[in-house]
Parts: sequence; C-alpha cells; structure tokens
Amino acid sequence: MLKYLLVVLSESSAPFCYYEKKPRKNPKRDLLPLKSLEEAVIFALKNNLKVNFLYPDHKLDKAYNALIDEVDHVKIVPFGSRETYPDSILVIESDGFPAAGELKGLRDENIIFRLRKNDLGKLSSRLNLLLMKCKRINLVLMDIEAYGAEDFEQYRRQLETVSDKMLKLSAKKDPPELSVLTDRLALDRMNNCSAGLKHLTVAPDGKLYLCPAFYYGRAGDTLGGIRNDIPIKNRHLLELKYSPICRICDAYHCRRCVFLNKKLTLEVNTPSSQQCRISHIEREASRLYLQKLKEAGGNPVALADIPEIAYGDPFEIVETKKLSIADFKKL
Amino acid sequence: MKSQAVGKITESERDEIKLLFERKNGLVELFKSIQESSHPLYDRLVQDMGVTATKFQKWWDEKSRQYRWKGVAGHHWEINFETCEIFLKKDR
Amino acid sequence: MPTKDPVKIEGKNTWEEGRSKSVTFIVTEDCQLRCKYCYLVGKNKSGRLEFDIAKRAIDYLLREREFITENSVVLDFIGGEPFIEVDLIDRVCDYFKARAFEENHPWFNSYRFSFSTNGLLYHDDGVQRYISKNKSHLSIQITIDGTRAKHDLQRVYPNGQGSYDDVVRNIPRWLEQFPDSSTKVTVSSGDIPFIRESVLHLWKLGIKEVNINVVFEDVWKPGDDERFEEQLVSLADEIINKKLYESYSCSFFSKSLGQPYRDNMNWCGAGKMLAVDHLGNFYPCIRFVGFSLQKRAALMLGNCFDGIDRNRLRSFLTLDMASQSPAECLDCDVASGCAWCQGANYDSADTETIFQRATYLCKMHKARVRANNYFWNKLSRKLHQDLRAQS
Repeated sequence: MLKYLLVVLSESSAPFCYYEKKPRKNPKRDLLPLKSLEEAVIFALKNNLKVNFLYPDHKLDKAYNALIDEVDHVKIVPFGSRETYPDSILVIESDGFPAAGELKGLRDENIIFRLRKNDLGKLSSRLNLLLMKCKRINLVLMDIEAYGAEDFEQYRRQLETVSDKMLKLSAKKDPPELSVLTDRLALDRMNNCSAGLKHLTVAPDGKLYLCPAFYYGRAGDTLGGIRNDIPIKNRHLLELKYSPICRICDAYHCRRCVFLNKKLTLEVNTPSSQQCRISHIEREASRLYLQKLKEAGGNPVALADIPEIAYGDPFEIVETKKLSIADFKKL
Repeated sequence: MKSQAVGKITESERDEIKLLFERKNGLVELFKSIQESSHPLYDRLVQDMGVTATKFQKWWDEKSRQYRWKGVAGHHWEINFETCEIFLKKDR
Repeated sequence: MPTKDPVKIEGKNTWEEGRSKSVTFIVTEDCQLRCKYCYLVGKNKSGRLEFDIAKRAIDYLLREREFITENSVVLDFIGGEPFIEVDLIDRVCDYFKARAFEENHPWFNSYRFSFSTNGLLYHDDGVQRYISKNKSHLSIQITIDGTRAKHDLQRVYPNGQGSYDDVVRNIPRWLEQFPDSSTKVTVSSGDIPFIRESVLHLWKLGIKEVNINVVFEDVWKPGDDERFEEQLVSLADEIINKKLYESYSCSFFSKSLGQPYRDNMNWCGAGKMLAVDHLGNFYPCIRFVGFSLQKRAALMLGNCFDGIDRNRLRSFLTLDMASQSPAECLDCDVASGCAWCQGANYDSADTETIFQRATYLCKMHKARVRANNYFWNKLSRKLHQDLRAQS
C-alpha cells in the first residue's frame, strides 16, 4: 500500500540515494512544472500520502512554497540549503564534505550521507564528526558496482571503528542512529526501501516513476502521468515473496534497491552480489555491536541476538537449495 | 547377435573404466587432429596413448579375474555405463 | 543391451544429463531453409563466427575452472545451419581437444560435440570427413519433421519448396553411422493433423527415438487442444496395438507427466548453459540472442574478452518455478511436465524479466496429459493381461 510520495522539485534536486542528478541547465526551466506539483499535491491529499520533497540548491518561488505547504511533508535538501530550509533532512556528499566550520551550527540533524567509493577510507572519520551533530545518519554507499574484495574488507574495518564510537555515544540519553549499524537491531522482518510498493516518485517531467533513480538512471520506463490507477507491470516482482534471494535473507535493514538490482542483475527482484555482501557486512557489524551493547549493560538488553551465520551472500544458499512450493505459498 | 550379461561392477569401478574409455577415445581423436610429429603436443600425446591403453587393458584383466566373468574365445566384454552391467559379446 | 522393462517409449537420458556444461557456439546465423515455426527470426549471412573468437571463448571456458565446475562439457554447434560452417567447426574442435589435453582439463576425458542439423549437407565430403575424425564424441540430430506432408508444410526453402526429399536421402547413412540417434520434431498449430502419421513415419524410417514438442509461442487456435489430444490418443492406440512401445520411444508419453508439482525447480536450464555468438558475446542460451527475439533486446551475460558478469547470472541461478508462475500453475493438478522456455518467456513478458511465465501452452499441456494418461492406463492393463495370459 502506498504511504508516501517523493516529489523531485528540480532536475538538480539533491540526489538522496544511489543515483546521480543531472547537471543543472537553467534553474527555472529545470523545475517541476507548477501544474504537475499541484497534481502531485492533490494526489497525495486524496490518497492519504505524506510527501518527501527533494529540493534543489536554489530558492523556490512563492507559488511553489504555497503548494508544498498544503500537504504534510518532509523536505530533503542539499547541505548548502540548510539555513534556507531548517528542520529538513540534509544531504551531504563525501566529495563535497563540509568544512569543520560549516558543521558547527548543526544540532540533532537528520542526515543522508552519500559516500563515494574513493572516500571509503575516510568513512569512520567523517561519521565521527557527523555523529556528534545528528540524531540519525542514513549512509548511502555510492558506486557499489565497483566494490571488490579489498573494498568490502575496508568497509568492514571502517564500520568496526565507527562501532566503537557508537558504543561510547550509546551512554548518552538519546544516542544517534546510524542506519547501517543500528537499524538491524530492532528489526524482526524486512524493512526495505519498497519503491513502487510503499512510495512512488513524481519526477521533474511531471510523470510517475518507481523512484527517482528510474528517472535519472533511465533503467526503467515511466509509469505515466499522475492518475488514480497506476499501471505497474509485474508489480508483484517488487514484493519480497518474489525475490528468491531476499525472501530467505535476514539482513532486514538492507535497502533492497530495485534500481540497483535492475542495473546490475537486470531484474528488479534480484540483488547484486555487491548489495548482498555490503548488507551482510553491516549485518555482522550490527551483530557485534549489539553484543557489545549488551555486555556494557546498555538499553538494548531486550533486543534479540542476531544469529551468527557462515555466508556473506544468501545467493550461496539459494543457488543450491530452492524454497519448497508449500513454503512459498505460506509467504 | 545378442549379448549375454556376465556380471556387474560398482559405480566407482564404472567411473574408473569410463574415464579410461573416454580418455582413450579422446587421445585417438586428438591424434587425428595433430598427426604431424612436429606438433608441440605430439610426443606427449603418443606417450599418453601408450599409458592409457595399458591402464585400460589392465583394468579389464584385473576385474575379469576379480569377478571371474565368463569368457569365450572370439568374444569380448562390454560394459553398459548406465547400469554397470558387463556383457559378453561376439567379436565382429 | 537387453533390459527387463519391455516398455521403451520414454527414451534414454541424454549424455551426462545434469552433470555437464552445455556451451552453444552459434557458428552462423544463416540457413538454407526458412522453416515457418523457427524462432530464429533474423537469419542473415553476416553473422559468422570467426575462429579467433571461438578460440578466445574456449580459452576463457577452460581457464575459469573455479567458476565453471562441471567435469563434463557438451560443445553444441548450432546455427542457422551449423554444417554450412563445417570447416570452421573442425578447427574449433581441434583447438578444443588440443587445449583441453594440454591443460590436463577434466573436459578432455568427458566431452561431446553436439549438432542439430537440417541434414541437407550430411552427405557433404567435408561433413563426412569431420564425422570420421570425431566419431566417438559426436551426437548429431538431423531434424526431420515426419511425413513429407508435415515436413514440407513447415521446413521449406526460401522459395517455398519443401526440403523433405533432400533430407530423407541422408537418413540411412546417418542411422548407419549413429544407430541410436534421435530426431527432434516441432509441432505448431498447422501441424497437428499430421502428428500421428509423422511419428509412425519416423519410426518406420528407422529413427527409434522421436523427441517431439509443441512450440512455446502464442500460436494456438481454439480447438487445437482437442485436435492435439485426438492425434495423441490415436497414436497411443497404434503404439499399443502394434506393440511399438517395445522398440520405439516418443517424448510425448512419459510416466512423470501430469502430476501436481513436487519440487520447485525451474524447468529450463538457461543460465546453466551458455551460448556464444559470432562477436564472442555470451548468452544464457540461444533464445536470448538478438536474432531469436521478436520483442526484446538481447540479454547478454558478458563476452569472451571480459568474461561473464556474474551478477547477471544470479537471477537465472536462483530462478525457481514458483517465483515465475501464476497461482493457477502452482495449484494445477496436472502440472508436472508442463514446459516453458525462459527465452520465450522473456520475449513475451510484460516487462524485461525472466520471472513471468508464459502460459500459452496450458490447454495443450492438459490435452497431452489426458492422452498420456490414456496411454499408460491402457498399456498397463494390456501388459497385465499379457502377463496373465503367459502364466
């Protein structure tokens, strides 16, 4: 069931996930047409949807702001616009990481941190800075298709270091959350991106897409204009039940990014080896972090332990052992 | 002519002779491709043909003794690789 | 070899079935014929495999021992018509043999060269030379579709003339060289009235094993299933009355057919196999090559220069029956043996996916199951009666 709508206000809106934005041409011309914004807002109101607006790094006209204010929403803005749009989710890029002075004013922020592969070695130091200023960080690893064995190992080591920092911060009253380390702790089932199922995207061309990446990345077709009956062909393939790898997996925090799936494996329901390996590095880091938290006698004593597993990619299991039809029907 | 079943071997014994049989055929047909003695693989191939033929014959000699298969002059044994059965068959 | 079971109708297993890697070399996209049901919709003269590309592909396959773990291999040469390129094939096979021997690769001890040919060039000197050179490792299947009427209805030259006479003249030599050979018969809507006579005709020609299947595409007309069933029942009667089951096999009849699903395996082996085109691109099978597809773009797994993109294999290797089938198929009481082709599914799916099973064959499968039940029930009773009479 749809729960929210993503509205990309401009071609140059801050990308908040695995895709790249288009280079800005004319800020005005790149904007989502006002009429399309109105359609999106009305659609959201009629369907009880909250809206996440993705903002560009320039100010919007009054007419846009007025329409946006008509609906319950969250603003996702580039770091540079933090003062224009306070109380927003900020997107920080690792290759344009703010100077120390720029971070000074931050407090209890909600941050999306997009980390380039080239900056993997700086992950823990960057996070150490951000964690002091945030209540939550969503980490997005970019360029995962280029990750190899050495990168996986480096990521594991970086998370280990971050985990120590998190452990220290856990004594605070409201310790910060780090998506790749803390999300898994409280989950007992899959909690993924669910593009196409829980949310859809209105792109700057005024049309609907599964998510912004399908607009920018051109990996899939548009779903057409905003209307009541949205035709998602083979929609069931977005569901967990129809993903042979994911449905047996317990890396519950994994994004299960259907865009990356499509891009790397050619199927929306099949995760790449890189996606699975990264999620399992995070799962293992979460497992060890939870153990340490419990040893320290912290709050999460009631949380169930995360079992230790011998594989780093559930594909290894699924390839040799298929789910029975009876078990499939139970899903 | 009809062949006569004279025995049965184990699957691992079947695998031994199947491998030798396949290798023997492979070597013969590789020889048809190479032929010229100047070919870099020629000497190795000829040597392997001799070794494999010996191993092949040794297997039949040992197994026929071990299982005491019936033998008749002018006949030979054949194996059904699927069933592991050994048959006595008249020479062509 | 004598066996205790007198019923041979189900045929034999193929060589090292399930244990061998099947690699298809598309040596040419050209063919002398323009068969009406052929899935290769884009035949042309330019798509010809170069020896250097084949060499690279073989080197890659032999090198990737940790990834390609099967101890046996079937190198399948396909077209178009493969024997148009017999000289090239000969060189490729020589290269494979020498390299596998040199590398001491397990495939040297367990390989086959396999051909599906229209048989028109079987008598050609080059083809015969190739056969005598590789005889113990060959599996050659000449496609002859049955009676002249059935064969010439579909298997025609570009000018529309039937090819039956040109094929049938080569059958005796083929069977003399490969007595246990089988043929593959394809049935499309227009062929249905000829099925019974065609199977009987092929047996009469001496081809004891007839592998026959209906096309996977959406070609079926209302009433085809009933006509199909009539043909199979009539064939069943003939087989039983004349005890043809003792000597011949026809893949339409199988004891394992028509049961509810017991396991969740994928029917098709796409992805476990590999096809190589003339540019050195790798595909899950020939049905994913551009010239086999009507609606979709080719689906490549990689190429002989950069290797296989293992991410693209993941969906094929984890694909199961349930994840791609409509609910009615999972609950079908007669589901087993209902076939599908991953490439045809991909081509006809609503999105670019291999996870949407086409069900065009549903009625045809059910008709086959009814005829199959009829055959086995009737045969079982007859064998029982024969046994009682003997005792």
